[in-house]
Amino acid sequence: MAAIVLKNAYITINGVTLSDRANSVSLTYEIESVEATVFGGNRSFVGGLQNIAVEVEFLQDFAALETEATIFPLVGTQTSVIIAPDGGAVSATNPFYTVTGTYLASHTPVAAAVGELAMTSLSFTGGTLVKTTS
Amino acid sequence: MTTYKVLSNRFALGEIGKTLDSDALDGCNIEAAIEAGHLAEVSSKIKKEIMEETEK
Repeated sequence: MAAIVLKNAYITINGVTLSDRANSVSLTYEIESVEATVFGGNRSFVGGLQNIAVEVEFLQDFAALETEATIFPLVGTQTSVIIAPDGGAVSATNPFYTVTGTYLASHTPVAAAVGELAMTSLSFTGGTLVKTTS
Repeated sequence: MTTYKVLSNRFALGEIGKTLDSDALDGCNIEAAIEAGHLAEVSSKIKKEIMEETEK
């Protein structure tokens, strides 16, 4: 069994590659469970709505074309996000996950305690997920 | 159709200097990409022709 260490995850936000500004990423793919239990049976569930969540931690950067400039106009809008375990070519062992129509509710342009790295944590919710392996 | 020029080497959908149409930017929030400085709208040839026709 192979153990995978994320060393070079690929992250694009709104078509902009920001992998080299991030140090944490997670993509959650969920189909909500809807209870369909009936009299005389045990608890039973069926699949409901798809629910996508993408969490990314970025090192803040206020330079032109960098983190803040890219993220700020996206707050309150829908965009697309692509996540892959590695920045190499798409393959069966390096699937690309594309989320379209995902919503960014908030962004913290300034957030850090004294002596800490300035970071921004983004949470994208909703949208449609497509997994590509070739 | 409106076209857009790529202004940033961070933009993954096209190399810097390349011109893309709306179809190539499907799923992208174009307004946000323009505001961020990654894209610039290019006046279309059709728009130019219409303006020239209007001026006659």
